[in-house]
Formats: sequence, C-alpha cells, structure tokens
Amino acid sequence: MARLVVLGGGVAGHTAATFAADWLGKEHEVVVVTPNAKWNWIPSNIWVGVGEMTKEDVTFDLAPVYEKAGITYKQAKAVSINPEGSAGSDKPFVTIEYTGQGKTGQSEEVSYDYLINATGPKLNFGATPGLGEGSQLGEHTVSVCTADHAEHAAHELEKVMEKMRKGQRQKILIGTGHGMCTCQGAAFEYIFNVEHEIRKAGLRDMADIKWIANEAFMGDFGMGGLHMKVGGYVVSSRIFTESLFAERGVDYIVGAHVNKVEKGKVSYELLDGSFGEEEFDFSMLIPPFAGVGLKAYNKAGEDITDTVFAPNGFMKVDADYTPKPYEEWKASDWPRTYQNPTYKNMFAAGIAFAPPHIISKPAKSPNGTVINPTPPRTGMPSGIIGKAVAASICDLIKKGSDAHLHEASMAEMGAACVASAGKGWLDGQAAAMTVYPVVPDYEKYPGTGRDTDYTFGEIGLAGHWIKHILHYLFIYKAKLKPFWKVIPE
Amino acid sequence: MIRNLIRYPDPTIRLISANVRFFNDELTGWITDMVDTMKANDLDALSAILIGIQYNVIVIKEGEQYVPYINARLIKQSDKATFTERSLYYPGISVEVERFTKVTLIYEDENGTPRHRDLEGEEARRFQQYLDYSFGSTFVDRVDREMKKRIGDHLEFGLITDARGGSCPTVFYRDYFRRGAKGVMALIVASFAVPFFTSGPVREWGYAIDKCLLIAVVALMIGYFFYAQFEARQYKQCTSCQTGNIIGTTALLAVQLVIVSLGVFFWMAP
Repeated sequence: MARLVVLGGGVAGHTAATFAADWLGKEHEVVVVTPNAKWNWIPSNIWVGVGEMTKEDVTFDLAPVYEKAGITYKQAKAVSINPEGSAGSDKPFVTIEYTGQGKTGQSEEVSYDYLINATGPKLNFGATPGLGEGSQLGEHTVSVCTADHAEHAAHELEKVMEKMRKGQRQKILIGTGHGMCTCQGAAFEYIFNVEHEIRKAGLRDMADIKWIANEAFMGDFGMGGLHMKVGGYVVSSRIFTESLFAERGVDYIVGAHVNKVEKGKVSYELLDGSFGEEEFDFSMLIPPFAGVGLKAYNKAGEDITDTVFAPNGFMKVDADYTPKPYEEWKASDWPRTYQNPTYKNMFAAGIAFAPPHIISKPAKSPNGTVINPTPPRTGMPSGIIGKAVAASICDLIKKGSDAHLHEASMAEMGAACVASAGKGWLDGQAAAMTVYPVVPDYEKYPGTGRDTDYTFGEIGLAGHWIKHILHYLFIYKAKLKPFWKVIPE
Repeated sequence: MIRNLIRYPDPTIRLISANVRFFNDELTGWITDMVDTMKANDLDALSAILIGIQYNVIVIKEGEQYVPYINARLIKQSDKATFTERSLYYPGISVEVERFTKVTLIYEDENGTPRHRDLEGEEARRFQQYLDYSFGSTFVDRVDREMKKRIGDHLEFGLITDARGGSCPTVFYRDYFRRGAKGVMALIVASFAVPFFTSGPVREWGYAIDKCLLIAVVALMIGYFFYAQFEARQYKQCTSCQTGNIIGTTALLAVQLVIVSLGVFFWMAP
C-alpha cells in the first residue's frame, strides 16, 4: 500500500486528490493536508466582494466530501518536508501543524511515498508597506482573495456607498498592490462589478473610480495581452479594455508599482521612473504572491530549502531555471511533468510550482524597480496540471518507477476568459478573451509566439450566464456529485 | 527598400504585432524600409504592420529625423479631445476620434535601451493612432457602435473582422447543428400559418410533418450537445467555459423547442 500526501486543497490539490483517490481505489491511501475547513470556488469571490453572493454560496465543508471519496483529511498546515526521512528512518515525511479537528496547534509527522505540493500562494501583503503584515491583510485596503476577505470587502463597499447616499463624493481605487502581482483579471472583474453595483444604486455620479495596475499596457493580464472577440470582431485586449474603461468612465494608471499604502492614500512608482500618489476612500489591491514558506531538511536535519524551493518560495520542478534574457526565453523552459528534479517522488501543481520566468515582456523603471506582472496560473491550468500529476503518480504506484509521466505544459495550453463586466442578465456583454498558447512558443509561432489563427468561437450567451453556469458546475464537480469526472477542468 | 503600404481590405491590419526581442540587423533593415517607404509616400509616421511587418515598431518623423520607437506602451494619459483622423489604411475616410492630448510613453530605441517620453497635442494623438495599428486596430475600434456601423456600411466589403479577413470561419462546426435546429423550428413556426388557409387533409399533413420536424429538432439538439462537447475537448482551451456555453445554449434551444411544440400540439393539431 502506498500513501500519497497532497498539500493544499485548492483547485490543483482538490483535483489531484479526488482523481487520485478514484484511480487508486482502496488499496492505496490519499491524504489531504489543508489548513482550511472549507473549499472555496475563488473566481466567485468577486461576487461576494460586492454583496451579490454570500460566503456560504462559494464555499462548502471539505470533511464530508473527503469522507465520501475515501480520502484521509487532515485540517492542518504543512510546515516542512523531509524528503530523505530522518536519522532513524528512510521514509520521507512532512511535518504538519493542525488548525482544526480539535487538535489545533498539535504537530504531526505524516510519512509519504508520493507528495503533491499544491499549497497555492501565500498572499504576500507584507511586500508592500501598509498593505499588510506577512500574509495578513492590512487595515487600509480590502481584498477579494479569500471568501472572508471578500465578505469584508462587501461590508466596506457598503459603507462608502452609504456615504455616497449622504452626498459625499467617494474615490475608489482598484488594482494591484505591488509591481510583481499577478491576477489582474480578478481585479479587472472586481472593478466592473463595483462600478455596476454603484450604478445600479443610482450613485455613479458620486464615485470616482480608478484602476491601478502593474501591467505595461491595459489588458496585458500577465500574458502579454490576449485576443478579444466582441460582436464578431477580433481585437487586442488592450483596445477592448481601454474602450470598456472609457465607456464606463473609469480612469486608469498602468505600469505602476504601489510602494506604500497609508490611510486613504497609495504611493506608487511608474515605469518611466516618476512617482505619484493617489487618494482613495475604498481600495481593493491584490497582493503579490509568494511560496507559503515550507522548509525542507535532509536526512541529517540540515536545511535544504534552497535545493527544493526557488527563492520566491515556490517548488522547483522540471523547468529550466537558468536565468536568461527575454530574447532567449523558450517554451521548453516551462515544466511538463511538474516533478521535482532532486526528489522524484515530489511534484508541485497549481500556483505552488516555480515558473521559469514571467510571460509578459519584462520591464524595469529607470530606478531599477521591476514592474511587470508575474505569470497567472488560474483555475483551468491548475486543474489540468493537478490531474496530470495525479495520473503520473497513479502510474508510478501501479506500473512501477519507470512509468511514463503525464505531461501538461502551459506552452501547450490555451487560456480563455469570459469577461463578466457586471451588466445585467439579459444585455450582458458576450465577450471572450483567448490566447493560445498561454506561454508563447517562439519557435513554433515566430514573432508573437502565439497562434494568431486560434480564436475561440464566439460565446453566444452573455458573460454573466456563463459565469453563473461555471460557478454551479465547478462547485458541483468539487463536491464529487454524480458524473463529476466528466466535467472538464 | 520601399515597401507597399497595406490598404483596405487587406486583413493583415488585424494582426497584433509581436514585441521585438532581437535588436539586430534584421530590425535595422525593417527600420530602413520603413523610413524609405515614409520618404516615398511623404509620411510623417508609420507602424511596421502597415508595410506588413508584424512587429511593434513605429517610426516618427521629428523635424528632419526619423526616430524609431520600439515596443512602445502608454503608461500615463490625461485630457481628452476630439480629433479628425485619416488613416493610411482607409484612403478617403476621415473619422472623429477621441484621443488623449497628454501621454507618457515608454519604449526602446534601436539598440534596445529603455526610454520614456512625454507627448502633447497632435504628437500625442498621432502616437496613439500608430500604436493602435501595432495592436491590430484602426480608428474603427475607437468610435462608438453606431459610428462603427456607419463606417462598415460605407466600406465596399464591410469592416474587417479578423486577421484572416473572415474568409475562414472562426465558428465551430457545432454551430451548424444549432443553426439547423433553429432553422427547422423556424420552418415549424412558418407552418403555423396553414390553419388560417385550410383545414382537412392539408392541415393533417402539416401536423404530421411538424411532428417529424420536432423529432428532427430533438435529434439536432442531441447532436449539438454531444458533438459540441467532443469539439470542445479537441482544444485544451477553456473546455469549461465552452461546456458552460454548450449547456446554456442547449437550455435556450430546449425552451424554444417547448414553445414550438406547444404550438404544434395545440394549434396545428386538427
């Protein structure tokens, strides 16, 4: 009997664990270690953040689902990995610290045969002074990264809307809180949902809404831009977003590294080396991501964190991490199997793996500050990678250590986003953004690195409908209701 | 070398230009060609895509100098004004377009050194227009829907929808099933006129045919549902959004089918 331990129960971890448990059956054990008691469908947090949905709508208890799936569930956070075992035993193990199940604070060593690191990111609020401390959200801004944060955001939004009702003009600032953030898409959706709520309440003329982001151009989204198909026309996401912002009367600042947040004010540096300040009454700024800070020790108990993890705290996998200039980036630098090069029984999936480099064009201000989006790893690639890693481990367990590993390169994956700009049920904008592949393959597609012929068939329904269908579809799938396996990632 | 300027309806204009990654002789060659073409046509600005080079290079004539701007982006913009713009791509058309009158751009020079610059007024406007070409756009994308339609109606071949000129459909084959189902339903609805004119055997025939057509609609919908899933899986691309779309589209078709069936069984039935 083999034991697979999955660290993290987000999209990647949950997908990997549930598929592995299904494929391995009862002969082998699957353990999930996650500090949260609930599963959260993160994309819908946007709606929680404007009060359109509640926290309960976007989360559910993990325990009954894992019990049904035959997965051992430990509500705990992983602290360290000993991939070589300890002095007394060769069996590798992870050290975990419980956060629930009546054992809060207790430590335990969980041995494993295979490990999937799918911890997701640490929300690194501490990277920007005033944005927060460590992974804790600060007092000046709000966030929609977790369901709790989103609930708080909705609360704060209601407060500023109340002030607008009283005739006080309010400034709203939404975007990224550091020069090296990802997830611009979430902030993008949030700003338009906030705009929609304010408009719906008849208060639009009482609000100045502004966007601030680390992208070098509007619509970069950490991928160097995408194609939009709107009303039959294919346009660059830059033109689309700029037009949308102009139409909704939203101003924007791009190429910005927010370097300080104070009460009612952010300071930032721009890509031309200039500095600026922006006042706000309500601000949602996405924090940068870092690894969760797992440590690794060898048999002798010496710290080998640098061997296992990249400097940003994400786990090293089968990528080419040699530092290279922009012109030498290759699609083949990106990982295919997500196996750790040193310890072959360790894999990473989702945001937890260390990307070899960014996807957008790198950029620095004349002062040397790096201001460019880091690579997005959204739900779909995370799910696909999680499933591929689970399949590889199942084969390793069942067919032996020379089994062929499953591959899922982001240089062979497309991305599509449905833009839901908060526009009502019947007249919502039918817009889809696409890009293929996510990671440019300059050898296969000279120039842009992207397949220019590859545009998504137009979405016939309003963005809102799709978003709602996806919400229910994914929560249904994650709850392992009948036929969950046929629902794609 | 003087190159040909691309003109309407060449769909190349819709290509989104790549970032320049190599600052080498090839780039110098492109810039030389752009300058030659500008001199030959007496132009004061040019984007590389306008002579068919799909890279983000813009050359602006400043005094007697031709200055290349590579991988340019606008990072600051303020103050808007309406300008009358003409486009090399659409000879003979001028359009009122709103542009920023103050912008800050970042770019690289021909050696790859990062630089930035503030532009105002006409210079700012011109740069925005030529940067849009590099992003696969013309002023058509900067006007409101109504104006866009008017331009489209005015143009001989309509607006250019995508980089392939719309000649190769970007729709999926699944849409033929959907259109088929809709077409058959339209036929059934058309047959609802029959009882106004006649009763007796013709109407009975109509009723019988309608029933067969309803079965055909159901078959097409089932075909759509499963073929669409198959087609969605052929691409490793947001299969989930596509699935959402398929489910929603099928549900809408089902609602339409119910309405049409009610018509058949309560109105057409003799």
